[in-house]
Amino acid sequence: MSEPTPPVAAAHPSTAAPANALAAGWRECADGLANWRIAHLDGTAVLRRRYARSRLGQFWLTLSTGISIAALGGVWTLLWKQPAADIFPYIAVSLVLWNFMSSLVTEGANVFVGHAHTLSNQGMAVSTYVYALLYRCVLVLAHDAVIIVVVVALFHGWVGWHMLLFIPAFALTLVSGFCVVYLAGMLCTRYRDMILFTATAMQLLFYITPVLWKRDFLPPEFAWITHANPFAVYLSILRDPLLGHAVPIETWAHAALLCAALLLVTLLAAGKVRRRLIYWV
Amino acid sequence: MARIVLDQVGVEFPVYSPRSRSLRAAITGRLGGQLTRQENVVTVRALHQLSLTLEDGDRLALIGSNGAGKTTLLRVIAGVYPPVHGEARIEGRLAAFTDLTLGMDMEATGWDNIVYRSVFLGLHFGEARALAPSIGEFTELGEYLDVPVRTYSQGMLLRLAFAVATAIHPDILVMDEMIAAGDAYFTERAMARVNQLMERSKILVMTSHYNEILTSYCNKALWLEQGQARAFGPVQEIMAQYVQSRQAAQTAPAPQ
Repeated sequence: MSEPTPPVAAAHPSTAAPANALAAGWRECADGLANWRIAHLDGTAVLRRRYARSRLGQFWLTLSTGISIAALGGVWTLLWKQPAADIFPYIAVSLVLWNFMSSLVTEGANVFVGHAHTLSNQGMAVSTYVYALLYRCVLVLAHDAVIIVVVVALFHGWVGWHMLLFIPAFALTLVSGFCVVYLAGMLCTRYRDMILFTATAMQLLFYITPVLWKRDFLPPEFAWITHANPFAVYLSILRDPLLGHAVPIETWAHAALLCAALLLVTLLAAGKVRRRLIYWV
Repeated sequence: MARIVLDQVGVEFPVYSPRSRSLRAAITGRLGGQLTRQENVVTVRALHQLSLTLEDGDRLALIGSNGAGKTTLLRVIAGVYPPVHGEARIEGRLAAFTDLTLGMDMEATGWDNIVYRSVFLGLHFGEARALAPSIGEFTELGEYLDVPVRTYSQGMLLRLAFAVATAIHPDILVMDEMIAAGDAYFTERAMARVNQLMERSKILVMTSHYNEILTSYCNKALWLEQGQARAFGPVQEIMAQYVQSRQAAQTAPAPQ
């Protein structure tokens, strides 16, 4: 027996105790990132399964999203006389992005509870599974992006270099998404009634976020809703570049501030809760 | 060099009632002015003021009745439970085998799972793929390695898991219940492989319901009782004390 001696350290979290909660939280998130191989395997597991069972795999779900978009766009055009060239791309881009954001929150609620068995048998950074979920949702979004490309190309054509602003917007969304998954996961692990509450809350948020309607449909006295709703802010910076619209600088600032605040809260919470979370799952 | 230092380690599990698991209850409890909030959380003391130092060459058997804290201690050493009190310092690459199938995907094939499980244990993908043929060969599962693991019998799954686990070379090896896989022939080969694994590891910590296994593989023993160390020393000695106390407890008349 002369097999190579492989390292068996990657899944083991750092043992040294960092000075403060912020440093501890940072360490936790860095340890999770170091487990990217585990996150990759876990994140792709659901998609692998879908492709193992059918040739279209994940695209079946993309297809069903595509059908709802076609139906909704049809209703908007025929019933409420919205111009098709305008409303189809709008709904397609909005709905796909909303599905991405909303699945982060609803599945984030279960991110630690769902891995309770693994986490209580393997000493590892719990954020590993936060990355795994984020990764999975990005992969699903990459499938659904086909709808965006087709619909925008069909109804809108080339939208201009403006769309490159989607990249920084997506980067901000990823960081915030990581935070939201982590926070929702922690809260829902400790308080189990929050898992159901999160699902209900996302349903409500869907109606008060401009996904199927536009901001200018709102009477002016209700316009504040779209500013107070963080999902509307992120949806705006993600969607508008893809539709060739400019995003006001205030909206960017708003998103960036939200992201910074979320990151700070998450790192502090992760640092504080790191040593206790496993006793809750 | 590998090292395990436990300093006054205490572990307590909060046992939440459904009410204390509810955020609504926590908030309304607050509003009502500290309404019996503490009464909802019962803590179970799993380990108490446990100190222990293990160095290269130490093979520790954990003994004690059910609920004495053996598995909890294994999980503290494995880094699953950060101690609530005291400190645990673990130096060295560690592999904990409390569940051998962790990281496997029941929908994937045996070959894929060899890689997945190896990666879960800390290998890189390249290393895992390089190691896969020899692991696959050891399982003797042949063509079954090409089909999804969910179709395996319990024994086959255990073989697969066992083959991967014993291909890893950790400094510190943590085992909950010795693995006895499959048919007699495989068990014989398996034992040889386990022996190699344990010889290579610098520190071994294990539990077992079979005292002979513990005395043959370990040189030290820690006797746990209600989460506290009752005795620590050479395995033969501690085991004799433990067996004696168990027998005494069985033959003694019930206390009046």
